Amino acid sequence: MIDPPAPAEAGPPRPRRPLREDVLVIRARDGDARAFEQLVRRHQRAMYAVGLRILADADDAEDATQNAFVAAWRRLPQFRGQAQFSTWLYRIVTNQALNQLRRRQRNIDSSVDISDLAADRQPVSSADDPYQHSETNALLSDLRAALAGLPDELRVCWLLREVDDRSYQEVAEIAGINLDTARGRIYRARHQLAEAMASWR
Amino acid sequence: MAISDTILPCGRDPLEVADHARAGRLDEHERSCPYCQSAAAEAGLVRRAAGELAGAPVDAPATLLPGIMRTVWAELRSTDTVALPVTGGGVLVTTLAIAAALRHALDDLPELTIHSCSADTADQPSPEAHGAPEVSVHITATATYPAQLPGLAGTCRQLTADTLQTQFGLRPHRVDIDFIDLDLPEDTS
Repeated sequence: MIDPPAPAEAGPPRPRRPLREDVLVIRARDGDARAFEQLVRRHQRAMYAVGLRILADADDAEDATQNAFVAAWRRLPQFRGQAQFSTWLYRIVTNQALNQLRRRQRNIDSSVDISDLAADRQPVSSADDPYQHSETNALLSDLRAALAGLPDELRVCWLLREVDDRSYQEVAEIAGINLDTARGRIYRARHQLAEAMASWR
Repeated sequence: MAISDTILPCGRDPLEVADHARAGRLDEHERSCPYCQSAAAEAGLVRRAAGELAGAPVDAPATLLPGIMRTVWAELRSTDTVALPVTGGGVLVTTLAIAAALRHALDDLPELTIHSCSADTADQPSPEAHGAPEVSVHITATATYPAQLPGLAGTCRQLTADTLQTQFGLRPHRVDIDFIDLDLPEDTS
């Protein structure tokens, strides 16, 4: 007979151990909402940023991110770890954002204006040097204008690679395209952006 | 791998050239070829702009997490229920709630990491239960190396039984534990 564990001493509850992501995913897949909440806490900022960069609107980005996490919760029983959980999430958020973008474009019959991105327009605070501060904001402004001119599929691949630092393979998986197509889109996006920003060279 | 419609006139893949430039590993050809130099410069400019965009402050709105979890809690998958042994009857608990309580209790064992934990009503109650409700528990877990698995399994079973009894007034019909791996110390060499 094995002795039962000693009863916990009175006092404040001990902090829980942080669990590895793969353990949280297994638990969430089993229907553990608390484990899923931990996953949301870990990834919400990055996923919201993905939605914001694609949609260029804070409210739309929040809707897309919320829909994406709820979709992830519903699809978790089918997730078998064939990709990293974060890559899987990126794919869901990207698709949600693109669908929302298409709906919006149909409704207002105009293209998105990336340069109107309110949240991303927060001044970059790095500059103690006013000249550098001004130059950085001008560079960002030109980049946003150039991004607005890209087709959605090029913009998304470029953002995933250059801003979110995903590998070429991950970009392909997230966008649901093959590796060569992903590389081609990233190259064409980069080339068009460089041409649009030629004055910075 | 090269791609046919995005190859430089010198035959190089501009993405590879850009990656080499980023890593400071341009080869002899890439350092002297005007096409490669142009591709590297183009990539450098765009990368700088991308870096500024990546560094722009973005925080998730405070309403995002509560909005997600409201839906998640509302949609919790329906599971079987177990009747609790209370006077008058009529009190049920989901097997999901039982599993959550067990995970919470077992997370206090530092040598054990619970991966999955499920509870089901016992099909054939054991005779010694005398009609009291029983549940079968299935756990998959990893143990921290070095581990004394038989002793750890015993501790895990005992804590499971105690939690079932104190939290729900239930008996364990059986507690199956699969140790699927050992958690080895991080290799710091």
